[in-house]
Amino acid sequence: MLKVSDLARAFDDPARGRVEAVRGLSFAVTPGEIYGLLGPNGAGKTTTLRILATLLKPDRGSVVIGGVDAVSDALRARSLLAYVPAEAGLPERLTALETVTLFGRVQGLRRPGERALALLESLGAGRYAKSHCGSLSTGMKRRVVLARALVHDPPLLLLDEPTDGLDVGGRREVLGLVRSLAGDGRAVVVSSHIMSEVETLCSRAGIMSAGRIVAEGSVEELCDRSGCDNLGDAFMQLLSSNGAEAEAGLG
Amino acid sequence: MASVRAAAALSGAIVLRLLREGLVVRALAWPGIVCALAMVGTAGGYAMWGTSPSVVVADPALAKQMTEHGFTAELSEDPQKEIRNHRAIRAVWRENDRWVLGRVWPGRATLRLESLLREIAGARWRIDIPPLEARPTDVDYQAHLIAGVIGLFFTLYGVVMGAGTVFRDRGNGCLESELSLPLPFWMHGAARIAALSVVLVPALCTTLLVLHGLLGIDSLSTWMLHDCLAALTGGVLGLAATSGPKSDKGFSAPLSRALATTIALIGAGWALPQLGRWLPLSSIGAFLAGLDPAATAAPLALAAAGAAALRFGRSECI
Repeated sequence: MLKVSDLARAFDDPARGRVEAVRGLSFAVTPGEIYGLLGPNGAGKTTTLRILATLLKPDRGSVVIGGVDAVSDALRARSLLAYVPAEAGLPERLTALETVTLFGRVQGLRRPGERALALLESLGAGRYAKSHCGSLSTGMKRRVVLARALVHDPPLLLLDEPTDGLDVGGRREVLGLVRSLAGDGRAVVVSSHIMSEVETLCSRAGIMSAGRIVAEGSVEELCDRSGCDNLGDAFMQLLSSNGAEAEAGLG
Repeated sequence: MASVRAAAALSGAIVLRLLREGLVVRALAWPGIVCALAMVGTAGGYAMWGTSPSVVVADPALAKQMTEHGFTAELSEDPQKEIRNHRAIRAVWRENDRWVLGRVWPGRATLRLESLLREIAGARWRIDIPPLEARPTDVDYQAHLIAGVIGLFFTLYGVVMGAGTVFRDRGNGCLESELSLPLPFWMHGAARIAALSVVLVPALCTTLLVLHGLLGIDSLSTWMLHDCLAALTGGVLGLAATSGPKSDKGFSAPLSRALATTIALIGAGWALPQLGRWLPLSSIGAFLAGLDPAATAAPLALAAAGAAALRFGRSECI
C-alpha cells in the first residue's frame, strides 16, 4: 500500500543552518498493517508524515501510495490517504457534521452529509453531530477529526501523535478505533514517542533518530535485537548503540 | 470543474465561520460607530474650544469698542454678505437707524456681543439670523471624505482578516488537515481570498449605500469599486504576509508588515495622486486627494490576488 524509498528532506534554519530532517528513509506498509514511527522529539517523524501526506516535497526519494507516485501526482495520492496531524484542529464555529461534510464535499462524494452522519455515528460521535466543534471535549474532537479524515474511505491512514493531549480513557478509545480501522484493511502509519502505545498497537515499528530509521521490525524483533524485555528499553538501547542519543539530544 | 466546486465549498465554509464569529456585524457597525463618534467629538470640541469671539463689522469706531471688550473685530465693507457667504459666524452692520447683530450660532460669545450692543449709547438693534443653507460643496466633501474613511476601515479589516484566516488555521492544525485534501494548494489561497471578498464586499457596499442615503455621495459607484478593491487588496496583503514558510514565528510581525504596506500605499496615493490613481489601495488615496482613480486599479488588484494565491500554493506554509 505504501512504499517509501530513500526519502530525504532538508530545511534552512536561521539558527542551525541547513538541517537534514529526513535522511534516506525507506520502509513499506501493507494493507491491514499498523506501522509505528518511533523517535524522540526532532527525529523527523512529523516531517516524514508531512512528506507522505504530500504537504512537503522531498529533496530526493520516492513515495508510492497504492501504485500512485505521490511526489509527481500529489492530487491523486491525496485522494488515497487521510492525514491527521498532531494538532488536528477543528473550526470552532462549524458543527461536527458540517466539518465532516465539508471534507466529503471537497473529496467529491455524492452525498457527503449522509456519509458524514453515518461516520460520526459509527465512531460514537453521532450525538454531537450538530454541536459546534469548539464545545466538544478533547476526546470527542479526536473522533470528529478521525471522521473527517475517513470520510472518503481512504486505504492509507497517517496519524501524527494520535493520542497527544488525551486522558487515559480517551487514549484507549482512540487506540481501539485505530485498531478497528486497520482491521478493515487499511494501512496505518502512526508516529508516537509513547512506547506502551506502540507496543500494544503496532505490528511493526521503525525507530527514527536524526532523520534516519536506525532499527526496524516487530516489537518482539526489536526487543530481541537489543536484548531488552520491553520496547521502551529496546528503544533507548537501539538509539544508544547507533550513537544517536547524543545527536538527538535525549536526556 | 470538480476542483472549482471543491474550492467553492471551502470558501463557503470559511464564510460561514466568519459570519458565525459575528465579524460581519462588527464590520458593519464599527465604521458607523467610529464615524458618528468622530463627528460628535468634533462638534463637541468646536463648541467648547472653537468659538473664538470674532465679529465682522463695517464701522471702525464700533470695531474699536468691540476690541476693547475682548472681541476680535474684523473690518468689512459688507458684514452681512460675509455672514451669508459662510465667511463669518458673527457680524454687526447698520440697517437704517439701528444695528443688526447677525449670527449663525447662539453661544456665550454671541450673548456677550448682544450685551455690548445694548450698552452702546442710543443704539437700537435687532438680531438677524441669516437663512443659511449647507453649500453643496460642503456636503460633497464630507461624504467624499467619509467614503474614503470607510474604505480605509474595511481595508484594515481586510488586512487583519486575511492575515488571521491563515495564521489561526495554521496554529490550530486546520490548515494542515485542509491542505491534505486533493486540491492544488493555490486553490486554498484563492478560496480564502474569495471568502474575504464575499464577506467584505456586501458589508462595505451596504455601508456606502447608507452613507449615500444620509449625505449623498458624488461618484458612488467609483467609491464602491475602489473601496472594494482596496479592501480586497488589503486582505491579499494580509494573506501574503502570513503565508510564507518562515512567517509562523508569530502574528504581530507579518500583520505589522501588511498594515504598514497598506497605509504606505494609501498615503502614497494621497501624496502622489498622479501616480497613485493607477494602483489599487493608492487609488483611494488619490481619490481623496481629488483625482479620479484609473481603470488599471481593478486588473492590478486581481493580479495581486492571483499572485498571492500562487505564492500560497508554493510556500509550504504549514
